[in-house]
Amino acid sequence: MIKQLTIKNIRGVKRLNIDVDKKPMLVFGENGKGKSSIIDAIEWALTGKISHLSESGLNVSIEKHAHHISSTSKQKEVLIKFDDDSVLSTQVTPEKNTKAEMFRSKSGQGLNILRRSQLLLAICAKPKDRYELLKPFLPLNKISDIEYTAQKVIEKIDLEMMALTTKIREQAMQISIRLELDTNAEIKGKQILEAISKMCNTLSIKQPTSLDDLKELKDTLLDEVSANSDKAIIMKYQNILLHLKQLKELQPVHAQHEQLKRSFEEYKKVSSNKDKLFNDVVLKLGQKWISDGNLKQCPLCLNEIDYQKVVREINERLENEGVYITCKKSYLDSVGNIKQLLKSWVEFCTQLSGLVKDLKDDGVVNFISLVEATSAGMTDNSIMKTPESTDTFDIIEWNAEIDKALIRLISKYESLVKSIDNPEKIVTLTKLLEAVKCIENHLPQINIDSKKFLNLKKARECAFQWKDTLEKRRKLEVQTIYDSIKDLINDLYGKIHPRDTRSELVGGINLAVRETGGGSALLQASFHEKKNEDPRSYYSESHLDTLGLCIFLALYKKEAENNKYMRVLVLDDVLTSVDSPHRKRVAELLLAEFKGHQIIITTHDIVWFNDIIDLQKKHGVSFKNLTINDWDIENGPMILGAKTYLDELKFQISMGADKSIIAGCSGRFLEMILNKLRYSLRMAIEAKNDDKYTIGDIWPSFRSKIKSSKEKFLIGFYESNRSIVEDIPLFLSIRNDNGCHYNEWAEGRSSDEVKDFANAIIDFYNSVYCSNCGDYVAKITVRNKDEFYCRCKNISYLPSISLA
Amino acid sequence: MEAENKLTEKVITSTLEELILEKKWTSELIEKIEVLLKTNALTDVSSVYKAFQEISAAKEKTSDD
Repeated sequence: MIKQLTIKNIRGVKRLNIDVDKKPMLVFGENGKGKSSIIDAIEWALTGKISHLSESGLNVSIEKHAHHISSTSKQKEVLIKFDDDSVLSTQVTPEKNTKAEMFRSKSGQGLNILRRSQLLLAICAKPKDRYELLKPFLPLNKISDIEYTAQKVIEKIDLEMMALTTKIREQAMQISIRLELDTNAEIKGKQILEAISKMCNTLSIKQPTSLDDLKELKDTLLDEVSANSDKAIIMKYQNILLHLKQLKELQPVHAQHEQLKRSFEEYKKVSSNKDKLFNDVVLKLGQKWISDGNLKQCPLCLNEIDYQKVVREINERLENEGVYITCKKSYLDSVGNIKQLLKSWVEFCTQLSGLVKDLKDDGVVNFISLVEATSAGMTDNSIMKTPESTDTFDIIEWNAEIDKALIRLISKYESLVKSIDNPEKIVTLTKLLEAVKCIENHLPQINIDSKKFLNLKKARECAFQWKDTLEKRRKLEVQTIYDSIKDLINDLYGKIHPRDTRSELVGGINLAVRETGGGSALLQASFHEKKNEDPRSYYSESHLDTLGLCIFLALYKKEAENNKYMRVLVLDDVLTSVDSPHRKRVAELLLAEFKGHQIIITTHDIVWFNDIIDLQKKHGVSFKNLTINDWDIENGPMILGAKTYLDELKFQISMGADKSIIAGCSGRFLEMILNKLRYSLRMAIEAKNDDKYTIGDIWPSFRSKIKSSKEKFLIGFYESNRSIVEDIPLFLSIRNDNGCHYNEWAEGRSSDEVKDFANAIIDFYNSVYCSNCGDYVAKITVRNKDEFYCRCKNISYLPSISLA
Repeated sequence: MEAENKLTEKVITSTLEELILEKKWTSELIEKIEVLLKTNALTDVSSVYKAFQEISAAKEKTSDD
């Protein structure tokens, strides 16, 4: 239990010291008086964060403007002292094996703190986001990490498979070029063998029966070359010519460059429009929504919608997305193609360089230098350029001199080769030898890489089965947890909304995991005959508020069952839309269900504040009740202390406070009493939109009711309190003149008159409120007879003698 | 932490049971995962990656046999 709380320079608090004294704590304060700052400080000390602030928000609030915006001191600290005298501080690590250390480690995720914003989020969030909110309560960290690892392994395998595919394709392409096969098509061993056999047939050389015979074929070809050794130099020319012709047969680079430029422009055009075109998440949702066929309801807001219009828009966007993807793919393909083409040029030139080494042919050497320089420039340039990174297409063009030089060189070497007898045979022989060498060079690696690829494919299959089954099993377990929480939520909800009236036929709350997709928490509830519906469709704001509260309380309770340090429950101004009877039931629920827990409640609602004070006596719980009277930027919240209206009024009288202060306190006190009696006596008052009733709204009908009622017990009450009831109206003008508005003519009221008014209110309070049971006198109907007493009957009124 | 360990073990056990039951994995493959579980290596990407590579090699061997 928390013994003492000290806050220095946090958010709206400059310096605050509260002796919580191991008790639950109830804090009342109007909006903007610093209640939430106190809760923020507690959360910061317990968890090191303030959950409703983003990281940047926390930085501004805590680092930049501590305290708030005008403090000169930057020393910020929260100290929470526990009942073992250990201290949890934002500045120092708590000592080991102390309550401070245990509280920090066990409540590290702030599972014990609820704010209204979180409550609304839990109800209004999509199932996936709601699951993220519930996740800290579910013991899923480890299994989530294991699933995440499995996913990362799958991604790693995918990347390796992609790299291998590219590598295999590049090697296969080299073979295809040598064998004059289609470079874009996949090649298989059978096709390689067929192409080689065809060339062997031309040369009248024994055809290989399998690729294993290639070594033997290579020896035969080398023998053939050896037999034509005198023609070695001619063969070299032939070989050079072959390479030059193969270069010419490659796709023209300038054409590829043109294609690249065109696809760049198209891609640029659609990518500038990309944001307008589609949003991946919305599209995926839309696609799923269409395929699910539940078209009448928007999957996000659940409102009824003109689905035909939405479907049309989604289809248009999908079409646009198609255009974007096509353009992007076309551009990336063009970049890939030009890179591959340049690579081939460079490879051929490298081989050519080896062939002309002894010939000292400057023409070829210059040609090779030009190709290498141009290719290097274009490759570097094209890697960097995408429409996202540059506005203009400025990839350097292919040097036209290269093509001209190539034609000149081919012509030169054709003349040299023409002098050879049977040049076709030499050409085919050279071609075949080069092809066999290339196959010998690349095929073993292709086989190794293909095997690796297959192994990776199997590994991926196993990893996917692992991840998929884990996910399925985790969902089953999460559903089991949801089911166990569900009963508790319904139990708590039933206590706030007993099903005894037609308006309270609510409940049947269910949390469900969706079969598809990642983690989810689908919230369902019943309303009259409607079962398993989204509660937002039928429930009122207040029913939703209490539903969110019950979900949180059920999760907290479950967590507390397994964690003895989960004993501080913090509720920061959570009830706003809920009316007085329901708020009172919530207070009853908290005090009854969380005995032994140190509950910290803040509220801006004075009626609820007083309800809880009344219930403390009934439940035998002693709270630290605090009222934040005011807040200013210099001092932060100004706490009055543990004072009720009665304490406050008595305190002001004893201090000889100014008559306007006493009159104001008396007025607020009377207003509170009348609001209580409104419920306990079941008085009919003209309804108001804001559900806030002042003395002026209640007193006249109250007085007239007890004076002229046919209900004999009310008359009995009137007779017993005649002097008070008759005196109070006389004093009401004092309250109005001095307590509410300043009037110069009211200065004439004496302090004694004001004190008499105050004492009359205190007498009236004592006549309707029982300090023994902590309850107000109420109208109780038993067997069609009305009786009029407090819960313990210490205060009871007899029926009027005249009417009895 | 205790609840987390218990749930993790439950999910993994039922996952492995399902993989055996549906004859997707052999007991040899299951053992690999169990070793990773015992050594707390199921969240280590390189260990899990290595295990799946070994698993695929074992699968290949089984299918070759």
